[in-house]
Amino acid sequence: MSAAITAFRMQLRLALRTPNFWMAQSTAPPQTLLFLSVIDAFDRPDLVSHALLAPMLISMWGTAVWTGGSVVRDDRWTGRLELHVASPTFYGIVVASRVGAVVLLSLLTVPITLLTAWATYGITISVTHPWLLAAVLAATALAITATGIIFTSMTILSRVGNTFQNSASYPLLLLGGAFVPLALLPGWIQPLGRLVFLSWSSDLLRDSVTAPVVARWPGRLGMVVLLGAIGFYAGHRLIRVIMRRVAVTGTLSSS
Amino acid sequence: MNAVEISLLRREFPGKTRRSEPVVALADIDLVIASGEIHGLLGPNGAGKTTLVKVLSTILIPTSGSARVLGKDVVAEAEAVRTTIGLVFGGDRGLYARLTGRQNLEYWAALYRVPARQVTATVNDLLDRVGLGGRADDRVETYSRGMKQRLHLARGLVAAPRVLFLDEPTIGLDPMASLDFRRLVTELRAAGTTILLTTHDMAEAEAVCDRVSLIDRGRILATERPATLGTWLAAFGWVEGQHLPAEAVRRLEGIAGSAAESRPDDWLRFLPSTESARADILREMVAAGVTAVRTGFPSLEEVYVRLVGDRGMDL
Repeated sequence: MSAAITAFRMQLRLALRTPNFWMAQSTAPPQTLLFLSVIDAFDRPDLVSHALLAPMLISMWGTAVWTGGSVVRDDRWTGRLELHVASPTFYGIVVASRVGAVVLLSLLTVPITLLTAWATYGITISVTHPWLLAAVLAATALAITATGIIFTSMTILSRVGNTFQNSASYPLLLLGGAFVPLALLPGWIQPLGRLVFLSWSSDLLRDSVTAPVVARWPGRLGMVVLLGAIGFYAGHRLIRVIMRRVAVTGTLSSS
Repeated sequence: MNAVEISLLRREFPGKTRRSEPVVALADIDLVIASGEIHGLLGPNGAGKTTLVKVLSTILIPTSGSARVLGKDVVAEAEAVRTTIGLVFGGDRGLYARLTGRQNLEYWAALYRVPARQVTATVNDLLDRVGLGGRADDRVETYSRGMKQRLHLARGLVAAPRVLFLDEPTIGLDPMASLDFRRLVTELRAAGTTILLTTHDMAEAEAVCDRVSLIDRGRILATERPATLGTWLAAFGWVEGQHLPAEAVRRLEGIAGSAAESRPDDWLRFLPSTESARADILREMVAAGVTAVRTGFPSLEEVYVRLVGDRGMDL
């Protein structure tokens, strides 16, 4: 536990000193502007919550994948990954803690997005279910961390892990309803989207902001947690398998 | 109990193409290191030193054979092995440059399960021992290469390991820091720590090691006490003279027992086979009125060439 907490704290320090992190955060204002301009052009103020949710989720996911991915990538390129392997603490615990720290920091996107909306279009949001919103954001952060571990582990296995992260992120965000609700996508895609925790998160986040009554929210929140837990287990197993594989092939080192 | 027991250890890496023969990094080596021993592993680049350290520290899985650290198998009981070892790679990589030296050590102390209440005292003590106490709260990116290497040493000691693997630990250290390193190794010896030290530097190995193994192309050529290294160095020392008269050259070649080698600027190198022959050559040069004389010792690679050339692989 001490190792996990120390790794978490260490990554908080590192992330705030890392340009990658701030670059991921800096995407939120222009994306907010983009989505709000579309809403404004089509005169659909009822879709404001959709327009604000998209940059938040994109930025949170981007931070988890890119800054989280750089945890392993940097460790590998600077020779630290081998030192981690030789230590008594399983590297999966280190990765989970450090990606978690980055995702926690990525929640900064929420005030950044709201501030951008207010500063550019004078939009203020009143949240109908603030406690539910907080709970869904927390569950989403945990699920993003868990899924981020899977993406991050790919950078151990493959030296072109960036390509995988890049190519897999966009479909995941689309299926997760980050851009538009899953219900607006073709019917045959929707069952697939329901396997992605983000689709449950995004619907619940929108409802917690605008819906007078949020139907079946405990079950929907439970799905976010359940799919996140499955992602965590898969990521953890994947790292164990990958570490064993690279120890056999001798491809752990960058040099 | 022996600290390290290696039996028929082999590690191969895939060739450059699928049809290529695998590259043999370790070729069925045997080695035993007693508990509390400082054991040197000497060899040129690509000899297999780092591969051996990586296998023993559970980073690499061997292709065949076995290796045990304090009785624990490095494959089947890797987690148990990791709790007993420390690992230091040479060079200035492997640290978190944006963190301070203290923060780096605190991080690794947690990963090595140092009890939380002991971390501060342990880190302070280590920073002082490696001479970084005054820069503990500066970011590592502001450290010199030698300071980073010293921080590496402290990192390797953070869990007070019973077995310590030092892979080229003095790369980047200035001569004074290298002396400090030798002092530190001596302290560790007194504390009963077993150390496997890989190095290019014969003098360093001779200064701190109880025994030394020469490794080349994945094979251990010889395991000897450091005093034997001194004999090798003396045996393969060379003497050079400049502008030597032809008559003197014939006499000197007779003493050396081999033909002189030409060097630039009219220098000639003699390779006597014993220390007494080397002294005779020096005396003969002075007697011949030669005023430009220099002596030296071979590089490690030259010793290998001559040892292997003279005695074959069965040293």
